[in-house]
Amino acid sequence: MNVLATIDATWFDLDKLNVLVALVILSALILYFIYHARRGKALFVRRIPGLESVEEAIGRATELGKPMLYVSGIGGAGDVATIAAMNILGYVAEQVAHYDTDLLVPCIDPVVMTIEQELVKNSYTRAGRPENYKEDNVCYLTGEQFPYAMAVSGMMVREKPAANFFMGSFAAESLILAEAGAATGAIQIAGTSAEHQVPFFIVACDYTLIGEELFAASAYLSREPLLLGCLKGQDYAKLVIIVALLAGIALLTVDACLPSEFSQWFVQLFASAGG
Amino acid sequence: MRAKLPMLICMVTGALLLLQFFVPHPFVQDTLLEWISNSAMIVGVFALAIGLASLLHMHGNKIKRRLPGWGFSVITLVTAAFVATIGLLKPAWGPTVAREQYVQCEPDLHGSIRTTRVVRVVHTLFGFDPQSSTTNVLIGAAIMPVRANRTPLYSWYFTYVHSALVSTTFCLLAFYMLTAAYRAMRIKSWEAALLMVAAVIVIIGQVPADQFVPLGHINGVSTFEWLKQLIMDYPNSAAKRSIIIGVALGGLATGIKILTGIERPYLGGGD
Repeated sequence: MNVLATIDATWFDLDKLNVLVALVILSALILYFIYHARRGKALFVRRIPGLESVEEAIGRATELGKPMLYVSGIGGAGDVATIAAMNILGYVAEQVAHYDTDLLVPCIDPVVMTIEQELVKNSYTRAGRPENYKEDNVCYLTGEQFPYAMAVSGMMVREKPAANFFMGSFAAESLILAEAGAATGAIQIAGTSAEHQVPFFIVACDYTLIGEELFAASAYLSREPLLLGCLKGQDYAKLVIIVALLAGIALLTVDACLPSEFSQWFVQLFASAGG
Repeated sequence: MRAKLPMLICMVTGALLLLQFFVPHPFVQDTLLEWISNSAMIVGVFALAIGLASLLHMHGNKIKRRLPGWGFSVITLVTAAFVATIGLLKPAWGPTVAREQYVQCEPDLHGSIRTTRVVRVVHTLFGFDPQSSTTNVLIGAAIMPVRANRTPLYSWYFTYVHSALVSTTFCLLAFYMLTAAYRAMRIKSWEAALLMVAAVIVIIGQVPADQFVPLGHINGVSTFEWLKQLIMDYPNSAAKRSIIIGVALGGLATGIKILTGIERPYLGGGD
């Protein structure tokens, strides 16, 4: 028995069992809806104004004959928000490629830069305009947060882009970028998963994708059934969390009047051991 | 094969990283994680070379073609070369920023004068100390040298140039916050009015306003501090947590899409 307990403790952290169960349930929901989408079932997705305005921004830049700026945050290639930003960049670059408009993509991470160069190049090729792709437009600036913010702000002041996109992971530089962009009069669309930066983008940008909307963008823009299925799965996973939250609120309210072991057990069920 | 191999590497690495969260075994926590972290470092070093090449290419082209703002490109390249060069210099060649100074104390009960050694950072013009020299002083019976502590040039550059510039940039945020707050709090709708009222309460609650204006107390704290905490703990936390839950689910879904190969942005959009 002791040997079994030692093996369990060594090969599986039992304190994280609840996290594993939640992960399995939420992943199963997402995978179920992906499977459903594969079978061709139509899925409804609500309107996201920030993403609807992408074409408006591209159109405006084309009309004015000015470039567009796309900033994919300060996260590395392993950051989910940066990955979401790359998905949107692919779409934006494909739309831009149809017109003779420059797309400037300054990067903070050389790995992200390499991926984004390929991404933009492939998007131009898919749009049938590989000759319009300029390698220098997707460039590396610096590896540090504030020098990067200053370099991008300088770029905005000098090049005067007609549209600025700020998508991905941002920290304190978000307001510097957004305010510098607002001062140039550009139409600005932002999206971030960093909840502390959302208010800054909301006040300084025309449209803001709040939190999860950033991750929904690739499905929303491409309308690919598999991605839409994933989005639907996310919504149902959210429903599960809401039900658990309501149950927790009800149990703790009852517990305040009639203390019971069950309500304490329920609360402990959701307590994470960290990690 | 060109697409399948990176996808396979991505899936296996993703699965291993997921595994390490649940498995506390030393092999997983030490050996495996160290291997993954070393691999990431190797990729990072190569990527840095690519980044540097991009920087040289872009700014080199700007200078060559005398494009508008080419002067800034010259400054960028010269600075990059300067920082790279000072990083290679011997630390002993750096400027003196600290000197060991001695303070002579009063005679003690036995009549002997005690000298205490203290190290004091000498702040001179940008860290350079023109008076630095090495002399000897007597401490008790021992002769101790006064050492001029030299700092590596890159460390000097980091402290007196880089950090100063970064702090200046960070300070700009205060002005940007002011303009952003002005824009956000213009009362155009009832939502904006609500925001304005909440912001005023939080701002007043943040400062010791009750020291100047008697505003009363609730639960032992000033009224505005109590109201501020109420706003921060309930509506503000609720809104933030809803965003966090959405982001966590979005991250999970993105992770699944990447692990199953539904989304492959790391392939550069190619198939």
